[in-house]
Amino acid sequence: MTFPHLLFFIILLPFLGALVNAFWGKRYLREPNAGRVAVLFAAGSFALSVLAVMNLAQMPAAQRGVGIVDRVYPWIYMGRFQIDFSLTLDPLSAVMILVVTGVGTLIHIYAMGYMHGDPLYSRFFVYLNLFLGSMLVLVLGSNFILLYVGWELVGACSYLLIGFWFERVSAAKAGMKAFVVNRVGDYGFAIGIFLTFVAMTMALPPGAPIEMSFRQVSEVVAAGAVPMITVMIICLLLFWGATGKSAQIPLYVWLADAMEGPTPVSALIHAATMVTAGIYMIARTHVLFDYATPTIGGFPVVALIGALTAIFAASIALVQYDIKRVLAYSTISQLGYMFLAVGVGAYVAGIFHLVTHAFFKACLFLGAGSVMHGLHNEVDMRKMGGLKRYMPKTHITFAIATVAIAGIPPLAGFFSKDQILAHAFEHGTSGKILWGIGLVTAFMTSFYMFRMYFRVFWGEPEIAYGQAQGGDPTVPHQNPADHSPDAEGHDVGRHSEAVQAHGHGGGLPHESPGNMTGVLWALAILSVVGGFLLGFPEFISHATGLPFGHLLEGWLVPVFHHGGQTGHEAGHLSLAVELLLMGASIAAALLGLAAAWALYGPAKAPQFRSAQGLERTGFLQGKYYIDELYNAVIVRPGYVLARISDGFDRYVVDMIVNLTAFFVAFWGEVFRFFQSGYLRWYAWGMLGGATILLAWFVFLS
Amino acid sequence: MTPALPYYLTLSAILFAVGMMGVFTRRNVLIVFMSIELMLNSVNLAFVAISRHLNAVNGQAIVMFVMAVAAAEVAVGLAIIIAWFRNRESVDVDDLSLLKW
Amino acid sequence: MEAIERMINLPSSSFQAIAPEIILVLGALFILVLDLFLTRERHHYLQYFSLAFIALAGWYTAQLWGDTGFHFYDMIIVDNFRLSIAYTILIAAGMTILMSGPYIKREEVDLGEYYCLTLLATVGMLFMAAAADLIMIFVSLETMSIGVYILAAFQRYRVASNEAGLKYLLIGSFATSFLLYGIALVYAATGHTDLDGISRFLTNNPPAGDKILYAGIAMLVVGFGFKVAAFPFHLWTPDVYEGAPTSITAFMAAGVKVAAFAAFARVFMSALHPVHDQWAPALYWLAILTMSLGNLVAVTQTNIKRLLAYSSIAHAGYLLIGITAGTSEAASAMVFYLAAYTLMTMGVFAVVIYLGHKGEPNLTLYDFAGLGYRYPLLGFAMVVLMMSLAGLPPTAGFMAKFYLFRAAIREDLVWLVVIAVLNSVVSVYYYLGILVRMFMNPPEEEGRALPAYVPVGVTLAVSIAGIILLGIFPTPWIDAAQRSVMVALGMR
Repeated sequence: MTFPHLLFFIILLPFLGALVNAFWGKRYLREPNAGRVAVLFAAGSFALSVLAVMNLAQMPAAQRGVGIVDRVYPWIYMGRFQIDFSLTLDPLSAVMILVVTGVGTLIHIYAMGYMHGDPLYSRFFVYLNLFLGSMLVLVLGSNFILLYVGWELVGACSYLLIGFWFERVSAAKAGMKAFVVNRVGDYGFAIGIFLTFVAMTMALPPGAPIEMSFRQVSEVVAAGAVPMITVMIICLLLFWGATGKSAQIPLYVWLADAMEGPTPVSALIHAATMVTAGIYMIARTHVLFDYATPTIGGFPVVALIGALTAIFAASIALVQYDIKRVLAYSTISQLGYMFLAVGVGAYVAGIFHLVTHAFFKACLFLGAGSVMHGLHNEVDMRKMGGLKRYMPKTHITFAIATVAIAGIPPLAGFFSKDQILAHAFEHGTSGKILWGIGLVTAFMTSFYMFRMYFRVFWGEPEIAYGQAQGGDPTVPHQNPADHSPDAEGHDVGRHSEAVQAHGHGGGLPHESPGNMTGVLWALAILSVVGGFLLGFPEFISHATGLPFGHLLEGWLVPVFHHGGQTGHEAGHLSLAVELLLMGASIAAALLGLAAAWALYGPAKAPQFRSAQGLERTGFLQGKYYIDELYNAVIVRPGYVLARISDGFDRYVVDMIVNLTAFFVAFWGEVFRFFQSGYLRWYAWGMLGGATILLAWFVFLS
Repeated sequence: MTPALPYYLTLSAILFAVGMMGVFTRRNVLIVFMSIELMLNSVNLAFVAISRHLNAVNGQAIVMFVMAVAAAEVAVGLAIIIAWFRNRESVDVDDLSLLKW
Repeated sequence: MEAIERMINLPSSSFQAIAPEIILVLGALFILVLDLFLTRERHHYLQYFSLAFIALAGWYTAQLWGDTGFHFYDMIIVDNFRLSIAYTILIAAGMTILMSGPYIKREEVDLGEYYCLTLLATVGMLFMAAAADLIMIFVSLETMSIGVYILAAFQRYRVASNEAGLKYLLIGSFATSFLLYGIALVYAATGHTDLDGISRFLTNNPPAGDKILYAGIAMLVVGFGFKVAAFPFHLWTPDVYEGAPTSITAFMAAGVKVAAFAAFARVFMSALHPVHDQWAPALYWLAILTMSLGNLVAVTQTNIKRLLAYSSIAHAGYLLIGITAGTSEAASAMVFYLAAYTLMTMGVFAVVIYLGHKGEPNLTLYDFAGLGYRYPLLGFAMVVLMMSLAGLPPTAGFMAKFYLFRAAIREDLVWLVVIAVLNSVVSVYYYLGILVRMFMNPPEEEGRALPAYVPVGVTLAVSIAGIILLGIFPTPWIDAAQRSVMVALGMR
């Protein structure tokens, strides 16, 4: 079943939801209903997405590559520049919209419980729906311009949502930081798009319309009409944009601070969807990246940055105490994996990891949110322990997601991570090194995740529950980089007040309400089955005759394997090597688990003396002091520059402006004087004008 | 033989100027109004003359329209002047200067 | 006799060609009669019926879309230029009537004649867009003007309103006599009053130094310049705008200006196009002076209605660029500009009505202080309106300026565009100044609740939606505007 503009309605619904809540949310709908309305619109969008994807699935494979195109509107037509407001559903965007609307809907439901009692309840859902719609614009848009619009819209929503508890200075600052760092990335992205446009004007025959659609650009590039070096520069600029949005080196610094936002936001925007936009964008423009892969010393730049980010962020995550920060660095690290995948041309593996990551990372974040909910917004894992007694459902789901992200079979993370590593391995010599980095990262991932899991759910808290006061701002802050004395942690602000007023203050931890744990269960189940249902390794099914196959691979083939571009998909490696690689990743994961058990197992609780050496590593604790470095190298000189500009602005520019304004006002007053109110003057004025015109026409013609 | 067109046009221009002078010099709003009517009628004269000169009838048709329109304008104008007079108790155009700058 | 017979045998298509106007005339008469049977409390029915007639006229206009031809012995033209201008005028009239309901009730001039006159003035405007003959232009211009004179003076008890009406009437008739003189001289020089005939005559007999023709053109510039409020024929504008009832000010600022520009454009861009090189320099300077004066003096204004009057003068200056350029591209840009201008003018006057109270005490900029936060929706609306008036993206005002300036650049009017852009910069100062007052200054007085004027709110909402729509999705409207002049008869 289909109907016209189906795709348009998919993106329209969340925007409508945002409008409804914006106009009536606060006044009429209020607490439960505003959330219900938002969920309804999100779920409607999901239902339509499923419908659209079913339509797409019924098309023959060859046609599927083109996808369903919904040309909503001729948008900007200026001479050759002909941009349509046009949406495309091809297998790649199909995967994305299912993740975005599916996980998005679940998180909406979760947020109904989580945001309970917040005075800006309805506004939160306005932003959330707005984000959903923007993200859908990003993934459904058929051209660079629409992608850019979506890109900026999600950035704006992210800013609004990070700073949602804006009375808290740290939240406002985090929002600002995210925004500024993203601007740096967007700058490169925008230049990349401009350059693409310039390249198109030169590559296309004169008079041919420039649509800037991915299809057109890909075709032109694949035909070799654009010089290799230009394409490479475009790729680098696009990737620059991706490092901003997807938090890669060197622009990853905003994501950890972004955890100041409400936890559902962290789960939706800063783990499952928005931050994957960079990966999506590279996969979307893969023809460019395949045509002219930027390399540095034999390493593909994208893969190298991805791998380095992965290990770098993972090492920081090893010693963090703030559970949301651990997850944030984990997200950066996992995004690094995805870039590693797309960097070596393993687009399917990258997208696969994107999907599974969305499941388990959302589950982890929401689990962390549930913990915070039960512990009145405590985020310091040193004050936790033994929570499995109090929050059994959160515990089980969190455990599942932890196993999934650690890469232990047969859960989702194992399959996708293993495939990324295998593809990296087969990518020449440089690939071996990338694989090595990835493997170490896998070990670290397993370690820090189980560390957190054991500390939070097993053992005992350092101070027994019930004695600790909710929201103690004197906790020694573990981030010296947290810029300011007023960054107080997560425990003040509207939310905690509301929660405490609701009777959660002090007392024992408690399990979260049903709609929150229900969502956790759904995501946990997806984390379990998502892996082998979507991407069971072909070589095993070939060898054993199991009825599973690499569903995602088959689905995405039309996107990545057209026009002779084959990418570097699996199948080159022998079964033995494949198995060996698989064994290595399993070993790394189990080793991580064992190490975590040794250092943080319940036996060591609650002091964890043997781990203190690691935890006191200043370099790791200080996150390699990158924030300080940026502060010293960029921000401070920036201030100096700003002072100079300020002086220039004040004394030179303002003077010019003031003089101009004086001039304007002076002449304004002069002419105003002629407006005497006397009819006779007006008639004289007209006569004067008429005389001059007559003279002009009669004597000068 | 009728006089040539330039004579009529000159007369019309003179009448137009006379009307304009009335607008500039008179203070009574009614006389200003009448002066404007004189300007309109000077143009009517021109139309008739041109029409005759060109041997075409439409210039004379225009005059009919102009007269009809002028009549309507006078009616409306007098009504507004009366309304203004009631509030302001003046017929001096110089008092018509409440709104300025 | 023969003429009468031909008159009787007019093809019915001729009557269809003026069907929208006929509907509005009948509507106006119907309202006049209906008024007799309605009690004071039911006067809002008049408003509904007026809107219905406007909608009906709009529907008939849609039926005509795509037709071309001359009717009534070359008096009436049907082409898309006329029809798109007619739409703009009908929108202006519809929005005026919509926001008038609560306003004239508040000002205690809730009389049936108000709607009747508005409709009749609208008929005049529509005929101005439809006129293919200078006589027709004169008559329709007067039809429009006489209605508007009365409407400007409609608040009988208010001296300011009387004065506005009387000033407008006196100076308007004064200007009309110039226009008429210009028509007479052009008639003398070419022997034609129909635009097509003038154009043909001038093409076939290039007038080397025909002083009478050029004197006539100069007089026409004076006459039209008065109606569009071009320097130095603009002097009446601020006074009349300030004194007239606010809804009528909006009607004048949008409807009258649109109609006058339509006639101005048609006369100069089709009939007088063969002598374009002779009149273009004069209009070049007229454009510069008009926009500069409007913007410069607007900076000094504190009364919102006077400020908007100068703003409308400045916009007239920008529009004169289009006539100066004289190409069909410029004409289509003008069509788009006029539509955008109508929407923003209506919106901003709707805000003025919201903020005013009975008797219209000086509505100064100080009254805007702090309103942005107290009424966020109104604040948002003002942000959009001011951005559009200042020509900032992503609003209709920006796209309109963009297309207009582009058309001018194509005609090598680079300096004119540079000055226009500088003028836009000046205009940002006072437009955004209003926003600064709204959002950054504390309120002057304790909160006076805004009246719940639903129709005014609807007007405002429509205008905001239109501005954003035209600003973000301009393509189809630009297309329509381009098609409207491509088909336009006699336009080159």
